[in-house]
Amino acid sequence: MAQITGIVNCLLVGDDVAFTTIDDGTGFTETFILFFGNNPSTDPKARRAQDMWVSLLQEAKAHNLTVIVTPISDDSSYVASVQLGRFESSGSEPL
Amino acid sequence: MQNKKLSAKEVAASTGNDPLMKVFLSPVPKGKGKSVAEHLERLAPGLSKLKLRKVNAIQLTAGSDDDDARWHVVLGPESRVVEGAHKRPNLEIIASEAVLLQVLSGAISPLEAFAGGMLRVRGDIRLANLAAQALQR
Repeated sequence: MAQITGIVNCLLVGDDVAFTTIDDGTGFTETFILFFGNNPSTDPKARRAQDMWVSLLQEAKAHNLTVIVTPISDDSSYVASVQLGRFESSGSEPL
Repeated sequence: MQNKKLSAKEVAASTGNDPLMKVFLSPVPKGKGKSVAEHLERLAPGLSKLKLRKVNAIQLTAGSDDDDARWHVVLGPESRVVEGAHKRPNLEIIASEAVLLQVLSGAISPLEAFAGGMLRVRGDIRLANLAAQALQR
């Protein structure tokens, strides 16, 4: 899956659309669609997730935090998930 | 979460009058061609109108595997089409070959393909905007 890890370059939210551009730190950026009209869905659960993605990306942009954005497929710019921070152990490994 | 193909009307209704996206609502000039390379050869002279400070390249990638087909246009006073990957393109458009053909033949607009979940854009979106404007002149 064409996942990208980087910082938020831009977050554009309109009436019916939301885009974000992620900079992977090597000079490459990629533009993703959070939602676009009724796409991918107007289902309340999906809308809740989309609202939370906007909040996460806003937070990441404000504090220059790294995010991991995963699209729904290799050919699509639609976002499947937005992750803020990493699932990593922090000093709790056994000696 | 599945995305669906959007009609040109739906795409236009969602983007409204956003100046950044408006330019992507219009398809590229219609023309005949059997392959991605043929369409690029047809469209490249239009891209020569772009006045850019640095040498830029736009790459089209059919699919997302390393062995997938790639073409690039080196932009300049005489833009040229090259088969194969560019070392570091300023802009990369990733889609299936069928979708690339639809966009390059002018059958659908770039924004219809993008909003329909059929196309990805990596790199300088401003360059994409300038290129789309140059093709419509």
